[in-house]
Amino acid sequence: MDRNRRRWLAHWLIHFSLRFSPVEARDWGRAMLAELEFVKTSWAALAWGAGGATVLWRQAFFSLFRGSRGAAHGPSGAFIPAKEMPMRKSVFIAAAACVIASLAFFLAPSFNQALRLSLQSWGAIFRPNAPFQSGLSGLAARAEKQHDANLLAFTALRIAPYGSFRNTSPLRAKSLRLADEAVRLDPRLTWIYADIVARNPDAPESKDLIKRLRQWDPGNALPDLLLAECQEALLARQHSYRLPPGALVQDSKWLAAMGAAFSAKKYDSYFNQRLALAQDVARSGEVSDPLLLAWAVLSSPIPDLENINDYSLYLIESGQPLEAEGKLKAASQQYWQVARFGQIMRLGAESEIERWTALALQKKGYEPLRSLESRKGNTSEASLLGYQLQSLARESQDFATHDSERVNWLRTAVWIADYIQLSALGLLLSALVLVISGVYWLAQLGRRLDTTGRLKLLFIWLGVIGAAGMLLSSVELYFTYRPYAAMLNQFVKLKGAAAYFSANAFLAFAYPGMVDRNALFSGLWKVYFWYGVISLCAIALVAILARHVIKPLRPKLAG
Amino acid sequence: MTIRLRRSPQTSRVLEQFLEAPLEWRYGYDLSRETGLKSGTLYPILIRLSRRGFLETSWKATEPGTPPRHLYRLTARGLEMAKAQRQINPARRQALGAVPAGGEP
Repeated sequence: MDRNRRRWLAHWLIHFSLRFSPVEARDWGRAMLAELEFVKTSWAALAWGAGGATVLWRQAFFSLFRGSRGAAHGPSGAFIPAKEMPMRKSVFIAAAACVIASLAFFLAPSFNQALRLSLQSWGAIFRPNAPFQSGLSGLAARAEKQHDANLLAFTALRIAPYGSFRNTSPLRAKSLRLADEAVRLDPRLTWIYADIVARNPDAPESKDLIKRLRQWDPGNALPDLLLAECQEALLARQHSYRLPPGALVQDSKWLAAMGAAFSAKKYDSYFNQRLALAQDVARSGEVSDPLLLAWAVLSSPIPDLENINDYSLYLIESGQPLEAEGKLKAASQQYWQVARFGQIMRLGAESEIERWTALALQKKGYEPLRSLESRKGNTSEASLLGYQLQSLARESQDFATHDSERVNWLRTAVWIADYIQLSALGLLLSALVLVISGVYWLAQLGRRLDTTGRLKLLFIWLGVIGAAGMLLSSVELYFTYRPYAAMLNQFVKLKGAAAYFSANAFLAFAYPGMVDRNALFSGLWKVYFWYGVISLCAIALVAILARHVIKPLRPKLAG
Repeated sequence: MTIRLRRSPQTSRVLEQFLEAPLEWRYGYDLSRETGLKSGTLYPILIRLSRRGFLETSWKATEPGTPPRHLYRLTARGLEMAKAQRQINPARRQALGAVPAGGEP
């Protein structure tokens, strides 16, 4: 760039900026333009022009908030010592419109729900059980008063916090009382005893409850699986909760209970009943807290899968010496028990982990059976078992693919959930900033404060930022929560695994502790990269604000 | 009435420069060279001083074909304020006096 061009550019910069500068700044612009003629070097002229343009643009920007001082200079060009001008009316109207529009969102029920849930989920970081316990005592009292069997069952399963059931005997007693009353009113709800036992297998009443469960649902493996859990809890207590390896398979009572479970005609962990109960309660309108409803489904216990795995290994391992001794029929029976229980579990399992366990059990049983049949020379049976194993392998693969899709979906749900929660936080912070600004202006009206023009400008800024922030956060919160509102709706309407999946995805948002983020996002460098970009943008924004807002707050000279 | 002004080293430097010859009218470019401040820093200070009534300004016609130049001088109040500030912090003034004058902006 040659010398003339640099001077031309410097001239153009100030001249162009003059077009956008407020009336009161134009004389200053012309002054800088005139001085440009006397700047010695072309580079210095360019720097002068750039500095002058910056001054004019700053004046233009601040005039948006301060209002024009058009009449504040005399014929000589001298500025009249000015009082601070009031905030421009249009800015005030825009800020008020932002606040009104933001408040209008509160008329939408889903917006209220989004805000409430976001706040609850922030609270859940510090009090993990709190979101699921609120209002349950009142609900229990209402259920007892109305003799509402479903509501009694629902509260019986929720009234004692999960994980601390053992240590809260008054709540446990209340839970049992509510459950008994629910079953008395509607015997179809007897399955709730399974949940109560599973939560606290070493409670004194557990065996009695299992007995009642077995009478109500004969042929189900679940009561025997629960009985095995009771025995395991008893043994664990005897060994100061440090069970030595192999202790279970040496215990005749545990073996008897597991043997009875593996010989049962069916497997039902009452997943569908539990889901239907939560959905019935939701439809009745008695419980409107979505977190409580979704958690009611997801927090429900399933049988101890470790016990199932341990017993299946015991059967397979005890079959191998029989096979070596030539007792092929006895060995085959051992293996068949495992495969058969896998089959009935697969038919009755509703949750993914139960289905996965069932597939693994079948595979575990069929593999030694195929070699055994080959050894016996039964090629057709061995081939059939081979086909079965191939079919299981394909199903496992489909299951893994589906699981991978589900994880991807869950990642998206968690990402959006983060955005929703940040929006809610942004809404609260914006409202706080607006309130601070409002308090200042109220004090100004009451003439309790004597502050400088710059401080007034700062509070105008705060008010505008607060109002704009409220509107922006409200729009974000409303629109990003809509998919979750749809999930909640689906959870109440759908049946089976689809409803379960909706509840799961919903809870990914509503209850951050539900999702293991490290596991979900491990190896995804892109996620961390964008977190980094967002963090840097936030830091840059804070730096800009600090430059324009905090810097003017430096100590003032007294004239 | 108490009028507050932002206490920055650059403002103090400009005031000091005006105090060197309080009755003289000064050009913006000359002030820039004498204080070592660039236009982007100097003019906001001049604008602020003017708005608070510490500085008076005027236009001076130059050669035909060239725009008139803007001139600045402290008002009586400005002079009073600048002197008061000099008394408040003589050490600071001393430090400011060490700033080399005549630097290219």
